[in-house]
Amino acid sequence: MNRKVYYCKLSSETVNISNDFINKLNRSGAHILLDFKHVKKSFKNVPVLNDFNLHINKGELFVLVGPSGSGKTTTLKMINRLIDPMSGTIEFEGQNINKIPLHDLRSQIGYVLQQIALFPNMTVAENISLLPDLQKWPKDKQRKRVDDLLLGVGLPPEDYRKRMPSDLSGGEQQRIGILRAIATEPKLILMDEPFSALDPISKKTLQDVVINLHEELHNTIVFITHDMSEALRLGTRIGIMHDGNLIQVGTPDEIRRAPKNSFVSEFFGLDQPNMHFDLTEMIQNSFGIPFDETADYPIISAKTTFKELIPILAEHAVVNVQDDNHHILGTINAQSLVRYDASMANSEVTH
Amino acid sequence: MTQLMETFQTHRSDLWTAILQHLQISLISLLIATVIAVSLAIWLVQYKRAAEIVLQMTSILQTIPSLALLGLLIPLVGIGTLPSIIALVAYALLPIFQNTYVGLTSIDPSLEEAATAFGMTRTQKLIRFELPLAMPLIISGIRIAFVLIIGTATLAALIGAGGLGTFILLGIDRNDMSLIIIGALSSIILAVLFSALIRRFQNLKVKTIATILIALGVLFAGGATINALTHQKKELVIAGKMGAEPEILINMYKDLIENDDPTINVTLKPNFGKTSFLYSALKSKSIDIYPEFSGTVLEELVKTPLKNTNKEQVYQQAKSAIKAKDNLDFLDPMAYQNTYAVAVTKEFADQYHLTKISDLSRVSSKIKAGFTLEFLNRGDGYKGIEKKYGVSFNVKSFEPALRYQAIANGDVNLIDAYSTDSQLIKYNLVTLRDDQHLFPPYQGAPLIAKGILKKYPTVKKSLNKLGNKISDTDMQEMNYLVDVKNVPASKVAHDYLTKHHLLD
Repeated sequence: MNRKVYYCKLSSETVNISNDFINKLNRSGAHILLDFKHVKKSFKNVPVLNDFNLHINKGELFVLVGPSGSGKTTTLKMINRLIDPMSGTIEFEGQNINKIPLHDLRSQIGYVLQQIALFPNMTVAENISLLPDLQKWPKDKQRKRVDDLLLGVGLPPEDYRKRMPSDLSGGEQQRIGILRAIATEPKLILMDEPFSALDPISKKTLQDVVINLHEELHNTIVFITHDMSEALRLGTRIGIMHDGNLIQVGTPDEIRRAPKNSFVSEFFGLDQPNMHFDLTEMIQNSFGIPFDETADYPIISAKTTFKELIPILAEHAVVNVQDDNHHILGTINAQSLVRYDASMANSEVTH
Repeated sequence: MTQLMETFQTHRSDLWTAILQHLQISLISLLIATVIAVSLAIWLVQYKRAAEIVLQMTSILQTIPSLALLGLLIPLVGIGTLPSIIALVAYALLPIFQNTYVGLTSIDPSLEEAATAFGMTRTQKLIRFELPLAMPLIISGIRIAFVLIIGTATLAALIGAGGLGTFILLGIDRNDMSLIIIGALSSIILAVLFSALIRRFQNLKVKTIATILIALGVLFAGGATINALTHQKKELVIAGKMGAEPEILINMYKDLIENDDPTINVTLKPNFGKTSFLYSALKSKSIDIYPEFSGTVLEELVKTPLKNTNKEQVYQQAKSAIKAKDNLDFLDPMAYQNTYAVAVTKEFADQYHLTKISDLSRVSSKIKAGFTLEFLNRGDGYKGIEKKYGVSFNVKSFEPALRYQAIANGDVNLIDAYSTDSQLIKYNLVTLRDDQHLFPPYQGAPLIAKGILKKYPTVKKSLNKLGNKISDTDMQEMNYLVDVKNVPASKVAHDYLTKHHLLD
């Protein structure tokens, strides 16, 4: 519950309680799930990871955040040995991962990819029950597990079980991708920029899915993103990476309050999604949809911020926007927001 | 059109046999090629270099002309179904291998990464998603291969494996368009039908496809075993070269042998192929008997020069030479001589007063000759004419049946012929007298594989009943009945034997 509360910007006191709790956990070594010790890696003589040291505790939702090329994906893929370090060791529950049989190691680690990578020849149910099936669960247990998982993320099983991945939206696909990774309740789940290809609305919904799952299952998640707001929203602890170095590790609150250097504060500031957001501008630049006098859409103020707008649009498909003089400026839906957001992202690149 | 229907009616049962043979050869080849190519591709997906090399090799295999490949296989595996299947498999490898390889290598790498991260083994990856995703491409490769096989399998008839090619070859040999059309049409229908059927495999699960393939394999293996078992009976296989005359003769052999000893079951393989195929088949005991000519035995099989051109002495020389060389038995010869001849049209002969071969030296510049490949290369053929008569012509090579059309169309004005060919009458041609005695006498007699006469003691007596029977005109008439009148060879043979009381 804490993180949700924190996100809604209620009292910072609650946040501090939660951080204290986590810090207490951190101090006892028995709770360490993953331990990176002096890990180094380079590709073709270009270093991508310099003397990397980090421990991740059981039950944490640890977010590694950094710009592309910072080494965060390499770090993640070393955990399930898709990539092996050049030197240094990684311990899983106190055991060097090179000493654990590969199949045993990987069967304890769920994996969610940026590309989603659902198997296009399998139905939704077959994708979710892939790992249970490989582990020879009885068929009825598999079926029950699929239905429970689908219900848990708000997808009616009778409607979704038999669908093919190509029939789903990107957001729905990644929900299935997450369910596939957690179907066998692995001790650790790795998520490699899972939402970076999704539109803002789906992104928010899926972030909620991750938060809820983590609260229910108390499993450990290592989550990678280049989006600082996503890191702040999800992470119980955050590690900021830059050029193969771990710059700062801390709770979201610690990082906000005391960014270690200018890179951290800049990265933190640049990624504010509501920086250039202006509903009036959005409608004037015809990102809206035609106004319909007969329809009875909810009315919102033109001063509504990006963050406020997302939950509203998640609830109501279409809204009318009015200015301070109660004049209707225009009508928008989720699609308008996606298009506007995309055009903003493009203009930022050209700046 | 009515002629086509007529031909279809008379050959209906033959057509069914040919279609079944054709399908059997094609499906077995396809099955073997699929198993080889798909497993090879699955294995080589991990080794890019090796895969490229195999791809090159399979494409080289495909560029070998099919006829040449069949020819190359004869000394290695003999004739019949086996070399045909080997050749067809070689042709089918490329499309199946290529498509499977491309299908497997073009799978989204993120799927591979996900599967690896889930701890899936290579086999699990293959069955769960790699093969299913590559399936449309694999299936289309198999379809391409199958259409290729159906077409190429018509050549199997050339080396005695049967199939629809027999219709086409027979059609060419007898100059019968209906037979060619029926053969070609059937092969097209087979290709289209099965191509559509194979496409249905695309949407099946890997396990279902594997089950179907295994079932088919068991079916064929079972069929082959049953075949082998039923062939345990006392059975003689008698084959003949292309054309009506050998087919009539082997039908007579069958009637005579079975009449004298009903426990012997004779299987006929008419239109089995050319001399060299039959000779190697006889030596390898794929067949037991075929009718051969004394001159051919000496010229082509033992390759010794003739001592003279006296027919009795030539026969004796051939008989002892082939016994010494390959331990084959050459029984008593028939009366007629089917020797080589060179023929011109009646008008051409009249215009230039041609009656004998030596007359050709006067008009050698006006001659456009159309000879069979066999005649062109034989010491007692064109080479002999050049040497003995001292003349050379402008020469083109033709399939035996096509040279008659060529002279009728005026494309050529001199052809080689057999003296008993019915076409000589049909096209109003005259043969030129061999005044320098170049052509050896060609007396027909049964040539018999090693050990057969010991195993079947009645056979020698039965076949020698034909000794000194069948005159030149008898043979020409019988050929005419089969070639032009479309009377079945078995009926013509039986009628002759009854008429001459040889079956009493």
